[in-house]
Amino acid sequence: MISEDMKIAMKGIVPSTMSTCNSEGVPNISYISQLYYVDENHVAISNQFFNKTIRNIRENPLACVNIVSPEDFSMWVLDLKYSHSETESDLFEQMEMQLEAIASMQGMEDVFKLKAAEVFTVLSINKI
Amino acid sequence: MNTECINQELKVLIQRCVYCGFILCLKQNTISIHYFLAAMQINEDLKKFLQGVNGQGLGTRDKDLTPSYNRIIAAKASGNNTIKFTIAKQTAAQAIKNLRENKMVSLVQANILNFECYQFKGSYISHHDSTSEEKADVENYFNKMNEALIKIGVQDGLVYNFPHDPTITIEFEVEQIFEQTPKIGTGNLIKA
Repeated sequence: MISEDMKIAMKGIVPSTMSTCNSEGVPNISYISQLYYVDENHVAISNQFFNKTIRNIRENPLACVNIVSPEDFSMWVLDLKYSHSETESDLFEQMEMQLEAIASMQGMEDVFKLKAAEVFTVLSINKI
Repeated sequence: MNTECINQELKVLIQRCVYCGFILCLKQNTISIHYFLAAMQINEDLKKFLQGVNGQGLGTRDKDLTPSYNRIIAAKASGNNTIKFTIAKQTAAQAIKNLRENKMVSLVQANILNFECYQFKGSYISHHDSTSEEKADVENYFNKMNEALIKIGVQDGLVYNFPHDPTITIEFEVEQIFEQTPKIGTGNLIKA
């Protein structure tokens, strides 16, 4: 499902946005720090603030995220379904280290503290 | 009370309630009250921000609450409480279907140089094939983005790879604005 080209677009160089929708049908769109590759059928996002995106996926598990390749600005849109959260795992530790690196580059070490890795199943992928 | 009777009463009640900030809805022979949001003023700083070197996206959803994403390739305030934005026509079908069904718009913009970020939520008004002036806005946006991206090390011209012709332009009324600049305590609703 997730190709090698897409993995490059998931490095966080070009920020991704995630669309969600609460149980009352109000859409929300937000930038995310990074979309993490878990395996060919799963991705994860970092939960730093328990923000609106996270609250929405607890109510309605469906989400839509875009990724952009920094090499040629190719773009993919992924339809996702929330699977589970991880707070103690290899994935969590790996994401925590990557997030610290991103935060350090942007001078936002105090802002980006990982609370959980939110794992999604990839339902479909469209290359734009 | 039967459905027809409720419908008759609704016509009168909606007239009375529309100025009070709530509306009554009929579903399965029951009446429920839904508060609606009045249009919100976009201040001059945000009007200027809207035309900055911002990454920007559109969030909509369908009748089954499935969210959808579109890249926005130009946006600006079209009035004190309305925004016009442009998306590529080749990616627009689902968004237009969603907007016709439920009118709910969510637009996010983040400045690529300083990460200042806002989300604008509101109600769809209309859409049309972009005019020559709106196409010029798209060209202007791409040129500004290209210059800014070069400054942060992105190869010259890459941004033009995003689909951007033909395009459609959508207008919506802004009802809520949230600050989303990454920082502790972000996410607050901006007061009018």
